[in-house]
Amino acid sequence: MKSILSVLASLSFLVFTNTAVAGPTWYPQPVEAYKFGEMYPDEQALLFAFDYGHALVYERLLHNRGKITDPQAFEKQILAEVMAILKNPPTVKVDEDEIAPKYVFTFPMMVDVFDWSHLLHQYVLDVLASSKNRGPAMDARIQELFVQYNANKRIAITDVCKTMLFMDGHYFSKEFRRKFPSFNLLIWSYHWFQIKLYEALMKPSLLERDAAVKQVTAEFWELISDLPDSAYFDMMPETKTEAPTFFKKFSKISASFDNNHMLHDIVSDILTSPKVLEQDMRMVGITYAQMAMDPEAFKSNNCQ
Amino acid sequence: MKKLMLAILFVLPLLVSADHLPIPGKKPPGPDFYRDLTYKIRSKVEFEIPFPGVKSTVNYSLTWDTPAYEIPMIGDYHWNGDKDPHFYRMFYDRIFTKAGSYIEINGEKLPLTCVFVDGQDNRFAGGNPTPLLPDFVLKIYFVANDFSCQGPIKPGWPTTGGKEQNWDTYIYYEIRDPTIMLPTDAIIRYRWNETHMVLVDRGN
Repeated sequence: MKSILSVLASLSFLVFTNTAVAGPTWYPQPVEAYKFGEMYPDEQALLFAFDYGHALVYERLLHNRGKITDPQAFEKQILAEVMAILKNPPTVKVDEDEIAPKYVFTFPMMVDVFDWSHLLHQYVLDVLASSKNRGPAMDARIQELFVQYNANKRIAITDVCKTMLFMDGHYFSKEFRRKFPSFNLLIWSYHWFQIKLYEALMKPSLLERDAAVKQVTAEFWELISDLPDSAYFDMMPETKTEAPTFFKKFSKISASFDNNHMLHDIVSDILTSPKVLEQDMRMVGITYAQMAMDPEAFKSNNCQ
Repeated sequence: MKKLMLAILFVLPLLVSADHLPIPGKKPPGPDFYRDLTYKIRSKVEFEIPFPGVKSTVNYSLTWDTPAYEIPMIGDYHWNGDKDPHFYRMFYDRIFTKAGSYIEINGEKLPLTCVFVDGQDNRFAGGNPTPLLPDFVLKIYFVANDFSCQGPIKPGWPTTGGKEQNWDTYIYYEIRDPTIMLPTDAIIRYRWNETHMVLVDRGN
């Protein structure tokens, strides 16, 4: 009996160790994985389409660095391509390195950090959509996933909220939104959609949740119907404002998600700004990904 | 419960060390021995890709950081079950490298993020010792761009989606002589393309 216990103790150590260094693959997957898509297939497909939305523009910016003489035409073309994907979204999650191999190779740490964070996004949606219990058990389950997320310290974005200076306070900042305002608003609309889904799924009854998700989706299409005029954002949408119920209950997860969204803007600016030299791009990417994970960098004292 | 039992069946061989019949005069070492062996791997090596008219140089430089496993994983494999005291031992280790470690390929520097060791200790395998059979074989991967040191294969694949293999870029070589940790059979994988390399020993 003693030896069986010792084996089990060692086994639990191994399981813990593997979880702690599981990398961007979350394994074993949560039992709720992709349940959101079973209940809301159109919205799940939109989320898969957003992967294209981010990656395609990054890849094109990299390939065309220094050669974009007409930013408006560049933006118009890529918007048209992405809109076509949004209207006919994939039902399968496509690997980012298939869509944007140059971007993935140039920003390896960003990609690991985003992949890991996006899995948390997905699984939180999955639990919120599928949990029969709408009280403490559901909250505990989400917190449990968050603990697993944070255990992968080398690629986990901090849950300490950051000031907007993290996004906008650098020598290359705001270049993307200046040059490509419509595409920037499209990316902010993606983030708005994700945040709003959390809020919609906080509703107590299934009927209310279904209606709220439908409403959010309709509003999303309205937001992107005639960019840049159709989207009203002056600033990146934040969880605290757009999803107050979710924020109140899961403020640390909210901070982690907002930091992720800010990091997306940072990548866009690094890729667009001529102030970042091409040969420095990989190192700059690593530096800012590390900042996203650092609880002290651009720490806000006005979180709650 | 069924999953737990299956997990125990698969993991058990990695957990039990050589507490079988003892080999006279030979005591198998503990895990620290293999960790120390890993730390003796060269921290800088230069290679070239031999091809006429093309000069391709590849090198790496690393500083060790913390290991991913508390101790290396060890599994002993007996030739004829537990009654045979002779066995060969497999060991695995994954160690992070510090920021600033790199792989450089024709001037392009990539972050070297971790080292993965797949080793074999043949000293307890029985038979007559011969200089043609190495005591140790260390297969080493110097991995770029895997910041959480996930490993060569995506865990849980295919249910976890995407590609089976996880590493698109690494330097690989084998060590059969641990006295000077001589790299042999070196390969560079760069964005999934693989080619063989030879060691450049400038004597410094």
